[in-house]
Amino acid sequence: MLKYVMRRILVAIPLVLGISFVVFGLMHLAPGDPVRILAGREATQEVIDSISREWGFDKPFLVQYFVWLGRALRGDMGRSVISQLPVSFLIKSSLGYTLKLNFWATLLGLAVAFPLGILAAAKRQTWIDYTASALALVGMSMPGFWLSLVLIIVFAVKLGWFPTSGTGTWAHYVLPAAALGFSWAAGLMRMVRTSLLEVLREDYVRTARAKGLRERVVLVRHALRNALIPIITVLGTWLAYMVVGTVIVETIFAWPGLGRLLTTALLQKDFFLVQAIILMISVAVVAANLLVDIMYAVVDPRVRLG
Amino acid sequence: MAELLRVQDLQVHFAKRQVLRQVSFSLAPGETLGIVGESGCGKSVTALAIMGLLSRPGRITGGQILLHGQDLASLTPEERRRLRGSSMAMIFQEPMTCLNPVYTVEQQISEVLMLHRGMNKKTAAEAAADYLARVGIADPKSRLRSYPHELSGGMRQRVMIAMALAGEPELLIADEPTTALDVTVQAQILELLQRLQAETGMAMILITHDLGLVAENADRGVVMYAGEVVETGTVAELFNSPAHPYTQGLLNSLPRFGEQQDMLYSIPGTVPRDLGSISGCAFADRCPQVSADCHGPQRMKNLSSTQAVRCHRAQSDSQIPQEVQDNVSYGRAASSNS
Ligand SMILES: Nc1ncnc2c1ncn2[C@@H]1O[C@H](COP(=O)(O)OP(=O)(O)OP(=O)(O)O)[C@@H](O)[C@H]1O
Ligand SMILES: [Mg+2]
Repeated sequence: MLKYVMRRILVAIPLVLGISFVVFGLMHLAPGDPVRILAGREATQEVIDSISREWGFDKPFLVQYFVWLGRALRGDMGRSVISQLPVSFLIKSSLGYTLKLNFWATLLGLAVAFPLGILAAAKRQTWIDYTASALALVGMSMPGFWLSLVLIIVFAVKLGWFPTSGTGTWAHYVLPAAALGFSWAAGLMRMVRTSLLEVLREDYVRTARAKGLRERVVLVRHALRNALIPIITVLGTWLAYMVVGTVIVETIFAWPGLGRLLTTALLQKDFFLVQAIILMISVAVVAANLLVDIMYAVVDPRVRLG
Repeated sequence: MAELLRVQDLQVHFAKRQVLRQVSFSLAPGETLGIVGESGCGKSVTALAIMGLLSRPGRITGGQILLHGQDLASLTPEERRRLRGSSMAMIFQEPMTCLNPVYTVEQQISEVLMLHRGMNKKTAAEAAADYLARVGIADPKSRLRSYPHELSGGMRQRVMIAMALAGEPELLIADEPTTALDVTVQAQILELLQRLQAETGMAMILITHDLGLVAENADRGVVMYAGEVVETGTVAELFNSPAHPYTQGLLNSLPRFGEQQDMLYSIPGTVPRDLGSISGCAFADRCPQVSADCHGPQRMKNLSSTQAVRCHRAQSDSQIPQEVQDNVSYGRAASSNS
């Protein structure tokens, strides 16, 4: 098990480096001269030259990359063109909000998806199953931004229960977390249901019943544990959706997280900030996938060998 | 001898399709009953019905299953559940897929011990090792930590048997326990089952499509065809004086010593699928002795106190010798008296 985890981590390191290279390369391929953007429109040639030298833009591409990587590893990712604040500071102050939002959204999603999915599978082809599956279908066909707007209109504008922006109290979390959480809970619920139904047909589930175990034990201990295996495999791909969802939801709810920071930075062509956030997100996705791999091994003993 | 189990006119439907029509037999404590029949004749469904494990859309639509004289249909689902794994246990045909892949052998055996025998985790682990030793698994302590994928098919079936034994059942249903295994392993598993049965005194229902296995391992046999019992009798009766043409056909298709495998006789035709439309004998269209009377309803006829057959011709054939002949060569058959 430990060996498996170590090997996964070792594989992840070159992956992160590769990603940083691609991110860096893409930023340089993007239209517009980064030095000009950095310097601002009215900069003198002198200023442009000094920025060019400071960031190594006058050197060959590969050297530029290593200069940037070296600085990034030390936590220096440049300054925001707009606010002149260090990028690392800007990221640090918004990362917490994004993590908190995603934490509650994930928890909410899991708390909805698992019980409903299990219930639908256990009571398949009853009205409980039909209702749960219909809800999931509605949830899946609703785009994140649309769900956000509906939530705002109903719960903030019409009912006035929750605020639409800000971060002060728990009430501020409800709508954005619900918008983000429900948009992936629907897909997860369907996945739990199908996967569980598949597993319930397995011979070892019949064995568990033949032992005289309670149906709840059969369902959770014997079936669900196995049903998790295919679910975990797709969790990795869902993370990408989570990232996109975060950007959308944060923008709509004016949530001061990484997602909104990224949209603002993109609009303002804030070169270093954009570069750093995209790198952060990529690394986060790699890390999350690493976590998924480890979870996979925890759940399925057959994986630990490989 | 008091009856342990009686199955009376059992009928099972899967949705609209009838799968069991009239299945009746009984079983005494400690006895081994063989159930034989071609694929699809309803052997597994019978076993699952007894266990209360029929899955939707399958359900019992007629008849009774009595355990110690008590109708199982009168029990609540909760009472029914408590019988499983303790009074009656079952092992299956596919040892490769019957164990849960994500739990260790210890976890899967201990579960039964903690559920039905009230043991705690520690004593259950020790007892589980004992059970592994009893089913002939070497180095039981370290095998407890194995996952199913680390075991061979034969070993997995032994673990299944250990799990079944752990609840100290009065009745063990073994549904083709050796079909999926190598020939040498098959013999070992059957020998193990016989030994354990002698040790524990449990009754056993051995389901197989091989009449030879019934001869070697069972006291009595039930021959099933198309969802009904067509003949029952002691092993000696079934082998020496089979009364149903189907039983005779099965006997003829057994390999005999000195005969080549490719010369094997097999009954022509196939098992009918639509049982609902059959009014007479289901075997009629494959029967070499078919006559006009075969198309009327067929009742079970007693030929002796132990042998009964569902064939109208049996009456005239019942002069066949009832005594167990001395020259039977089929294992325990000659000494069987239950
Ligand atoms: N879950 C199910 N749904 C629908 N039909 C079923 C189901 N299980 C069994 N049957 C039907 O019941 C009949 C009897 O099946 P059963 O499994 O009892 O046969 P069997 O005698 O055990 O055969 P085998 O030797 O192949 O194991 C078959 O025609 C089968 O198609
Ligand atoms: Mg079967």
